[in-house]
Amino acid sequence: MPSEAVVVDSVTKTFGPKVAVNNISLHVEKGEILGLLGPNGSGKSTTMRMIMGIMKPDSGRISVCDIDVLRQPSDSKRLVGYVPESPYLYEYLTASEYLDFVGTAYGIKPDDRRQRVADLFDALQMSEHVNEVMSGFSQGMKQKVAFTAALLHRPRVLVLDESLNGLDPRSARIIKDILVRLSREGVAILFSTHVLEIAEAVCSRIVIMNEGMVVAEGTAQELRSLAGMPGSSLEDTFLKLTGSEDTAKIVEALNI
Amino acid sequence: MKRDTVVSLAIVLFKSYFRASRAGRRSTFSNPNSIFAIDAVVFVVPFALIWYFLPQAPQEIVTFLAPLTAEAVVGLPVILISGVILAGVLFELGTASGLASSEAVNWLPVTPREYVVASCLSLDFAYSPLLAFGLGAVLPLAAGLGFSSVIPSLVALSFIAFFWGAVIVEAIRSLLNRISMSVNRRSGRLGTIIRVVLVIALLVVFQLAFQPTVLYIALSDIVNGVSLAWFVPMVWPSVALVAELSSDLSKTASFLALTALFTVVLFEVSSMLRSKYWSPVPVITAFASSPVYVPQGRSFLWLDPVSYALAIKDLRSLTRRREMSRFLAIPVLLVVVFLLPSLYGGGLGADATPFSLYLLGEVSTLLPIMLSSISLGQEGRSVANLYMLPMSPDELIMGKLFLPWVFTGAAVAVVASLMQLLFPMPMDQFAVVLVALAFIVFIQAYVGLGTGARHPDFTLGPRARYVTGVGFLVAFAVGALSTLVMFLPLMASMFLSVFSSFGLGSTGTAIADMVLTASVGVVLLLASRAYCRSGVEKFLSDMLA
Repeated sequence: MPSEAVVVDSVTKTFGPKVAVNNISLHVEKGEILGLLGPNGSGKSTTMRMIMGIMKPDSGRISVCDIDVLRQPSDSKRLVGYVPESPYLYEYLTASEYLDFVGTAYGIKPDDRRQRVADLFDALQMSEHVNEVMSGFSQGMKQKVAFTAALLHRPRVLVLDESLNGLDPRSARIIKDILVRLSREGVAILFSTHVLEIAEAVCSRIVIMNEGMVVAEGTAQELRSLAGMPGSSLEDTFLKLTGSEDTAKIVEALNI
Repeated sequence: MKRDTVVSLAIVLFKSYFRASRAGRRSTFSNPNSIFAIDAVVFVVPFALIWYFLPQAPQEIVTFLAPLTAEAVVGLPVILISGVILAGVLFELGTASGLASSEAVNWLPVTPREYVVASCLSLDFAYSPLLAFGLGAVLPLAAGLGFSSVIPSLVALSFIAFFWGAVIVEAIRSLLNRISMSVNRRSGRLGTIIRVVLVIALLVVFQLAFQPTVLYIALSDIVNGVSLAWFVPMVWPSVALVAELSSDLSKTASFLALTALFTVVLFEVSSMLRSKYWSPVPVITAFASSPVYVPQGRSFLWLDPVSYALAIKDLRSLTRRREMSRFLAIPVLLVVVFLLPSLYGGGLGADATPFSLYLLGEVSTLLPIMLSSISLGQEGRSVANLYMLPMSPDELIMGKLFLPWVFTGAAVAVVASLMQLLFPMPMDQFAVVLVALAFIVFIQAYVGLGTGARHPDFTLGPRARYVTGVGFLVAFAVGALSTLVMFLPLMASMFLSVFSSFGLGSTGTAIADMVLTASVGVVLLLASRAYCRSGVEKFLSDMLA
């Protein structure tokens, strides 16, 4: 049995003259939480969308649990749960109507759906809002619905694009615990965030992207060594590896 | 009131009014200077033409034009008020609810009165070509046909009426905000139904108000009986003009004063409504009485669960989104706009079959094309769901087309029955028409979705169109052509029966027509389905939004 759940092999994606992802290769093992870090516009979200099969790479190969994402997109989507940076919900639907729609698309039986939604909504303190139209939801509430939708079909791979944004500390903690539990059960998780403390606490391995390329890869400790900053924080390490450590000078130069 | 604040806010509102629907793309019409240029053209061209040709016109034409000019002079203020209200309300109805309540201005140090003035200025400026054209056409007529004495009042009252229109739109926007909040808060489902009915009724009323026949009757009534309606503030400028035409100075002065007073009252009311209702209050809408999740999702007719879930989602989109509800009014509008003036004008004569075919062809073509071509673009950014979920092209096609088929099928059945009742055609001919219509509905929906998948526009905003301009043209050209081809056998047979002795007898002709129509239908159906499927496959292969 191969242990790699996600394989991204020499993938490039351009948007006109802009090279969003430049010949990157990475993999996520089963049961691993891989953190994907990088400044804004570094290509993280594009990479995740290509793994999801919703965006076509210009070149390279992507597979999820040995299924070619480009050739069998429907089959690979059945194995993946995805929470995008901004949850693209149908805001004129109630949470239950949206989850019905998603659950039906994944072919989940109503009884199973009832149990899954009840459990996750209870944990995320959303039970009271299940029959409310989502246009009135806060960012965090929408994120919880998107997270529930992503877990509804018991995915073998979870792709989370800055999905803890807007969550209250309790819910963020619960989701982090859920991620750890899922990884123990063998679910491969690709997780992007700008909150480096969360990345360090949750991720077993970290990949740092900059300008569409992978600039560093390893555990938090390995990254510190790579940057030549063994005792420093992950934030300093990140800034050094992405070439943006001169923040103090920028603030000093500001005339405010 | 700070003048600089008002002017800069008016410019921002004007630009956002034009640019919001085009995702920040610049358009020629979003530049204030181009509006000035358009104003100049639409004022100068009719003015110059009428000024030049009127003195050379024969006496009969001058005699004919004199009463019409009186109607135009008196009616111009009313037309301008209605014109601005119509355009403003239609714009408002086409705006996505999420975008309708622009909160940003509430954080800035702008008073409600400043906002109302700025918003009215931007709205009036956006529709200023209407005022320019009205004055450009009416002023030379008034000068040339003996109404010169009222020209100063006419110009002043036209500007005031134009401002009234914008102030009333402002008040309507605040009220819509208020009604929308309370209706939604009280009952989700009832609120949805009320809103859909209101939108349809509003569109029909406004559309009728601008029918040339209806407008002509209204204008005549204003000139002849305007004094009877003196208590309606909307006609006070017109009453002042009528009084001035008949040299009744005290009445002129009274109604000019009333007009000025009403301008102040309208402005104060609009400012008060804005300060009271504009800041959106978060609304919680629930469609079930208890907060318990009861899973739904099942097969329906020939639809599998995924397609059914998609169809139900689209039905909710059509009924719950304010900007989508207008599409439900299309069949009603088509029938009302075409049928009522014809009936009012004394009927359609002996043979109304061509008219019936035209109307039926229009409903069965426009409606499915419209509904299916927008079905992907209206998803907006949420279209990501269709890419994320394991959905096959066939499931997507069935889910997206179920609603256009059912809705259009029902609308066509009602219109066909109505036309058969009003203007009966022979039953064998009617049966052929029904078969042709059934094929047309299916074909047009495929054409619409195929085009919508190739040319979607995911921009959500005021006047969102959901399909690009090119897609719109392609869909309607292909749709109109295929409808024409579907009716060819029937039209050929009608032509032959009138102009030649060739004939198979009534039953024989009907059977031949039916076979030919069905054959053409099958060929077009297969072709349109293939076109639709290839478009949807391409659409699903790479996310466009």
